[in-house]
Amino acid sequence: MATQNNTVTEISADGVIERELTAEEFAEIKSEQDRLAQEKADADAKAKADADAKAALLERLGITADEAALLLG
Amino acid sequence: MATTTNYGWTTPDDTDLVKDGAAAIRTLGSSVDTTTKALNPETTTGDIAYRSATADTNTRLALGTAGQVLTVNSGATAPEWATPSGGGLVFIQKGTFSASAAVNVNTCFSSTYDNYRILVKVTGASVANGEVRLRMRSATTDNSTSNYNYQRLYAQSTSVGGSSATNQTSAIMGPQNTALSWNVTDMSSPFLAENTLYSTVSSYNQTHIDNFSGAHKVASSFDGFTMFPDAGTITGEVWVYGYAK
Repeated sequence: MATQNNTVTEISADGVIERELTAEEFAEIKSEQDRLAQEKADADAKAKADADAKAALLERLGITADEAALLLG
Repeated sequence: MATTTNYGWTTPDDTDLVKDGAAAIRTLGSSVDTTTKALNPETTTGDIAYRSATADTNTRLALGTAGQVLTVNSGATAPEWATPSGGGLVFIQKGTFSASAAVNVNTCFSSTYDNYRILVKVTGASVANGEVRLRMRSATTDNSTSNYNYQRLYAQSTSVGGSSATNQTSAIMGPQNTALSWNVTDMSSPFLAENTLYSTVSSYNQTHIDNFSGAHKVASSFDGFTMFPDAGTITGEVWVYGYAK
């Protein structure tokens, strides 16, 4: 489980300052991270569904993945 | 009249009269004094002397100012002090970050340069196998509009792949992992009111390479950028350089 840290690092010519994210900044980053996590979950789910569908099709055809690749050239 | 070998100072002949010795010594001393002064024209601390076009006469070169370096003049005839040019790639700023949810790099872009190089070393992350996301920034505010496009090309061992995305609210700057990762980004025209383009070469896990190319596709001027992990926090260091125009 990821831990959500509240630290933001401000870097400028004057130096480096570490401070806590404001509520607005925290919400913005959290929103983006949640969106990215959802995208990744959707992509993983699609990849798994594709793999499952492929395995099912190969089973119906009664051939292996290597044999299917051979057929497709 | 006898003279010395190197500087031709006049010395008494063996047959000169002793009574003329004082005058001869004065003449010789005066000659030595004149030559010595001609060879040592320095007058002030830090002065140096160099050979002039006239034999046995040096020219004084006054000390330069702080930061200047000794170089040869444009006519290639004499040394001179000059302020060194900045070189092709000029350091702007750097900073370290530790367990940060976001790293804001502020006021690093300006009219001084058009194009920039950004180096990011991520030495640790709280979540494995993630991404460092990128947003452009202006006046300490992130630009999170859906104007980021990017293309990814990666390879690990014999596996090669790619992906792309458009109209995103952030771009990818590079991968990050709990192990060391290294990202080299070149960025075009962030401060100019143009599209900002970037390309990154990233290395992590010692065997994995990631290339990213992307853009903020709306003409805008930015004075900084923000990096943040897609989950958790990151620790590391960032350097920003400007390419001389």
